[in-house]
This record gives sequence, structure tokens and C-alpha cells, in this order.
Amino acid sequence: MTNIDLILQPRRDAILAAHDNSLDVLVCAQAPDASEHAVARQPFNLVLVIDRSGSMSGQPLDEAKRCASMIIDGLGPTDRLSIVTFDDEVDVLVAPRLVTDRSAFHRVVQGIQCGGTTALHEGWLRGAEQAAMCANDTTLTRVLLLSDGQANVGLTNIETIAQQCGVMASEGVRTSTYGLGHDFNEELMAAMARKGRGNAYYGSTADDLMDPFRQEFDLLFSLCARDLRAVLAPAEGVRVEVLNRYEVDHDGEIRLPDLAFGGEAWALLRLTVPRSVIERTDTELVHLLTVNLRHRNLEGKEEMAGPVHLRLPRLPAQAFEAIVPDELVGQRSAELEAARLQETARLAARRGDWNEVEASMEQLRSIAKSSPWLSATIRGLEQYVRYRQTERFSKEALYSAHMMSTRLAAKGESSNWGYDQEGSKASFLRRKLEQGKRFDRDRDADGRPDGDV
Amino acid sequence: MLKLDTYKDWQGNGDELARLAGEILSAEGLPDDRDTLNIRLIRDYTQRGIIGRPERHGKEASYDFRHLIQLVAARVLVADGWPLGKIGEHFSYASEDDLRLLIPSEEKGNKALAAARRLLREKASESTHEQQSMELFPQKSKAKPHRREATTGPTRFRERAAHQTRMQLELRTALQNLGLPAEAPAVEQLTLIAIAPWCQVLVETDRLARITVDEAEEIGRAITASLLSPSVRKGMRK
Repeated sequence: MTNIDLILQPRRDAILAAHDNSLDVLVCAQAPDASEHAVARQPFNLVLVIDRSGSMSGQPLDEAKRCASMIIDGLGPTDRLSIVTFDDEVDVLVAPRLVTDRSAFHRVVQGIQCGGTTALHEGWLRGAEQAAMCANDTTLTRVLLLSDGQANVGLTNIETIAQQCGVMASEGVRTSTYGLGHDFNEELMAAMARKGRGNAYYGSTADDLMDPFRQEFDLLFSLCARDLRAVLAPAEGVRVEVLNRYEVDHDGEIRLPDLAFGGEAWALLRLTVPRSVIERTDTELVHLLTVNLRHRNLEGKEEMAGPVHLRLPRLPAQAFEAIVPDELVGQRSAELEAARLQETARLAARRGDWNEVEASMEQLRSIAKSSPWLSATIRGLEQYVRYRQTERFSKEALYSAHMMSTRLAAKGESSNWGYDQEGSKASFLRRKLEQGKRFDRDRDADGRPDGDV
Repeated sequence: MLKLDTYKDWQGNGDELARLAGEILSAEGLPDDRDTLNIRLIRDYTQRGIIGRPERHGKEASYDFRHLIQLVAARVLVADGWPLGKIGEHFSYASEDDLRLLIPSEEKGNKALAAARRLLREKASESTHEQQSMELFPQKSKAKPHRREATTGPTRFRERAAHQTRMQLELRTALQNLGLPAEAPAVEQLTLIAIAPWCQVLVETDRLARITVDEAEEIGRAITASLLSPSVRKGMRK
């Protein structure tokens, strides 16, 4: 049994009597600390799908090979690995095979050569097929897709490709995507990962690529529960809105990120509580919400945490205002608002409407005042706005917004931010300043973006 | 791993091929026709183009994994009511991956693999639609292919064949209407001569081999006159 703590934290520990209320509630699923559990991890069933189109030639392909080698070295004899490459044609270089002889995999990776155009969809689909061959409940199955380009051969429709990623994810084959550079289609790569229930990363340069690979690999090694679904049961008359960008199943279950030891998966809910709901209750506390958490443990078995109930006292206005709002709920609320504004700014930048971008950035600065992390993140984005770097801004804003809205947080995370503090965390729990740059490159930034100004 | 993959390096003679295909069909819960599967059937299928020609080592024919896949896939389709002529027609351009998609037993008990194969079948089907429309109606080759619900391999195969048959019928009607032989479109070998980046001449290839100096000069003069003809130029601008 995985000991997950399910916690409900409202912005204020009360509701305002005789009024309609809008109340933010943080749902946290907290994993045990790693040190408490010496649990054998699940075997991996990974497929590396590597873009070998012409644009990858040189350093990008070399770095992709280095990342592949890192993954090979991290796998053991109970893990399976398959390697697929694509340009305008797809090659299954290695069908799923136990990693008993790492040198054989290394030789295959070193032999990858660059070719033509980018049949991204077929490359992914063949990779998913390879992964599916050995998928089962007791393995962690994932397709890791790396590309620096646009899908320009075969199926290219974002919605259709992402929907197919969703189909495979529902059968246990997840997809994580790695964009490289500034020419890849970030909307496609992010949508594939979102629907594919994997992670979306990008590296601004080949040099930044290893960081996200390490992040995902560390996460896979530290997982303690997967397929987390929060089941919400609001009291009659109470309306619930999920503010994070999580997928919601047909039956209303919210899909949270996989949970790693020492981490916390979270969702911010906005409850709309009509006055009639408050007044119909005779008891001192008003019942507003019940939450359960369903998940799979490391053996692939279904488990459940909860139920937890949210029951709050109703207070008159003066007493209600006297309650200090919870700082963590406020922080998370600010992150989600920042994510929303970054997405608005991104779309405006794509339209070439830099006035709207500037307006969104102004709002972002205002929201970020209370958060050193958000402030520093926005300073990075401002550099791209200043030099009107559409591609760079669009990618960084998209990935930053995605991360803020779906990230796994460290338990007991402080509102303060510092390199040393973040550097001491597991790589997948760090709050990076720029998603496209490796963590320690943030520290070296001189405030002006490199490249095409 | 898939059972078929365990035979990836298999090689054997015709009798062994028939026996192994029968075992696979039976073990996978596919139609058990071990009585029908024999060397004569394999020779027949080879004649029909369903199974590729074997390598010969002296008098002995040697078959490999691809032949095995072809035979198993063919028997699945035969059991599904598919005529041998049509199977041969489609197998002639099917890759090994295409053929494996026709063997539903590979996905038995593996929902993830079934899902991946279904998506691959959809993709293959759409590629076929695109390819067919490019071959027959080049001007429509950029049209987005019509998307339909995916079905199982053999059913999809039948749909594809039905689609092709319907298009061939349409082609025959179109040829008749144009006063051309209905059996097939007229096919001519042409040679394209690029005189300038913007000027190309098409000549029947067999006529080009026989062209005389006088004819070539005559054609040159005709081209010159045509290029300078006001009516031709006016016609281009309309």
C-alpha cells in the first residue's frame, strides 16, 4: 500500500455567511519521502524515437546520441529498450529488447546518420507499436520522442496526432516529447505529451537537451504512484472548476501527474457556493466537497486514498475578513494565473500583436510581485519580448505555462527561490527559470538572449 | 514478444513452410487448415504472386520469414472469403509490415498493440487512398482523404479492394466516353527534352530513336513559328 496523504486546503478556513461564495481550494496528493521507502522500481519499457532528418545533422544529433547513451547506461537487465529513427522513412533499429548488453545499444546509437524530411507521426506511431509489444501493468512504458522540426511528411494534423497519443496512453503506452531548437512545432509536441500523459520538454540548444532527459529519467526512477485520478464529489448545488490544465476523464475524474517520492501532485479548484447551499445547512459546518484519489501502485494495482471532506464554518463578514488567507493556496493561484497570461501572450505574439503581449506582460509583472520565482521567470520572457523573438517567446511561454499548470511540486515548498535551494532538490522538482535552458545555465544568463535578435 | 517474431530468422523448404504456417494458424486460433496446406498449394500461391519466389539451392527451394508471413496472411484472408486473385493483386505491393497488419492474432490479448496496429492500419489505408488518387487522378492528389472508422485488418483489406475495384470500373467508363480502349488507358513512353529551364519538349521515345535530320529541322522550325505566333501568345494570356 502506497501511503499517499490527500489534503484539502482552502484559501480561507471559512465561508462568508449569507452570501454567494467563490472559494479556491488546493487539493494535494503528497508522496512519502524517498528515504522512508526502499522499494524496487518497476521495470522500464522505453522506446527512443529519434528524428534523424537533415536539420539534426551535427551537434543536435550528437547531443541526441549523448542523451540516448545516458538512458542506455541508466537501464538494467530487467528493462527493455527499443530504438526507432525517422526522417522521411522510419527504421526500427532495435525492436524491444532487454538491456543485458549495453554496448550493443551504444553501437546502434552511434551508427545513426542524418537523412531527409520529417515523418514525425509515423516515427512516433512505429515507436508506440514497439512499446506496445511489451506493455503490461507491471512495467513503465513510455515513448520518448525527440525532434527539432515540423511534421512535414504523412499525418500532420495536431489534433489527430494528439488524439492518437491519447488512445495509446489509455492502453498504457505514454508519450513524452523533447523539442530541440527553435524550429520545432511546440504546439504539436506539447499536445502529444499532454494527451499522451507524458511530459513535454524542450532544449533551446543541443547543450540544453540533457537536462530534460535527466529530469524525466530521475522522475521515472523515483515514481511511487501513477495514473492518479482525483474524484470530486461536490455537495449538491456547489459547482467546481479545475483551474489547472489537467485532462478530465469522461466520468469527471481529474488526471494528476504521476507522483514521485518526496513530491506533491496538486490541483487548484474554484468552488462556487450559492447562498442557498449555506443557508440550508443546520449544522455548524457546511459540507462543500468530498475528494477521493485513485491511483496505481508500483505493482500496477489499483489503490485509493481518501475520502477527505471539506467542511467549513460560515462566518459573518468581519470575522471572515479577519482570517489570514493561506499563503500556499495564494502562490499556486498566482502560478495558474501566470500560466494563463503567458498563454494569452503567446497567442498574441503568434499573431504579431506585440501590444497585447506587452499588456499581458504588465499583468504578469503585477501577479509576480509576491513570488521571487515568478518574477525571475518573467524577466527571462521579457528579453524575448524586447527583441520581438516570436519563436523563442512562443516556445518558452508555452512550456513555462504548461509547467506552472501541471508541475509536480516539492513537499513543503517555500515561496522563496534560490539556485542553491532548487539545486538541492530532485531534478524533476526544481523550479527552473527557463524551460528551454539547462538548470545551471540560468545562473550564467547575462540578461540578454543569444541568437537572432 | 510476438510469436511470429520468434521465426524472424527462419528458413526452410516448402514442406516445412506449409507445416510451420499450419502450426502458427492453429496455435493462434486462426483457421486450422493443415490438411490444405501443402507444397502444391505453396506452388500455386507462388504462381499467383501471393507468395514470393523462393531462393533455389540446387533443386531445393528455400523459403524464409517473408514467405511465412505471406502464407499465413493469405490463409487468414482466404478464410475471410477473399478471392485469391485479389489477394495476389494486393500482396504484390504490400510490405512485410502491411502483411503483418493483416494477421489479427498478433494482437490477441495485448490491447496496447491492438490499438497501435489499428492506428497503423488507418494510416496505411489513408496512404492507399492517397496513392490511388495520385495514380489515377493526379489533379486531385492533394485532396484530403476521406476518414472512416477503423475496422479489423481483413475487413479493411476488403474495403480497400472494393474501393480499388470501384475506381477501376469508373476508369473503364471514362475511357469509353473518351473513345479509348476500355481495357486500360493508353500508355506511351515519352522522353522530355529540356531545351531551356522554361521550355520542354515531349517526344515519343520510340519515335525519337528513329527521327531523321530533316524531321528534326522541320520540328525546330515549327517550334520557332509556334513560339512567335501571336495567336499562341494571345491564347496563353487569356
